[in-house]
Amino acid sequence: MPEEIEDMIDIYKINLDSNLRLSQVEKEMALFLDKYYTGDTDFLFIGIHEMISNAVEHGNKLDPAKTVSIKIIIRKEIIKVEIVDQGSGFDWQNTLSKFDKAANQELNQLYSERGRGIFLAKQTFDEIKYNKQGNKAILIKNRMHK
Amino acid sequence: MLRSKKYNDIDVTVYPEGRIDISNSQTLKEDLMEFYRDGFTNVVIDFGKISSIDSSGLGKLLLFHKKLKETDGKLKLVNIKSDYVKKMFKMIHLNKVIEIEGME
Repeated sequence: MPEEIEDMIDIYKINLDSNLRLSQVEKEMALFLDKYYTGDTDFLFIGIHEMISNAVEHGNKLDPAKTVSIKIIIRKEIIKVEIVDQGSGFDWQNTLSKFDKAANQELNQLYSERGRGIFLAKQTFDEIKYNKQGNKAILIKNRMHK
Repeated sequence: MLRSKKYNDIDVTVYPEGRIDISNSQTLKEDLMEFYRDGFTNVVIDFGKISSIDSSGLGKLLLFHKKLKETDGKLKLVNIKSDYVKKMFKMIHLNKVIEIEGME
């Protein structure tokens, strides 16, 4: 059995195409998350919204023929969000390593196009990672609210 | 075009509405730049009818702020009603860069 479903409690899946309005999809996701997250879902949304925007804008290059697939997986301890675009990926190692170097210059991150979204996602989730290629972002939030 | 109130040749308040995200942040920036080109250097953005903002919107605000500062002008954000927007601004300490009413 894949690790995915071992201790999965619930899952929300959607394929975001250019016909769907992000604001509507976000409303749906908020209702889903509210059931399982005791913390402030607004903060989760700041991160999720940014990663979806990056996928649409930088991943799919705003191509209306391309879609973004979103999965929110609820497990006992964590909420895992996977956002996959149909682009060719990017050098995420390089982008993420810049954050460590500039840890004390957080506002500078806000001037960098793709870095800005990643910066916000890092503020709101416990962990952020990518697949090797860089077209799949994974956000992880501990369900035990700090 | 943005609804606005002009007080004199340099002071203007603008009133954007709704969500600011990648679908409209570029238009917002272009609208703001038009005021700048018309000589308005003290720009106040009234957030009363803004429900949310994302990083693309923040980016445009920061760039516009930079632009105004170059000509000794000023950008100020006022009347923030949305909790989502307040949380976003607090989280990134935007008030360290841009003057925000109620977050001094």
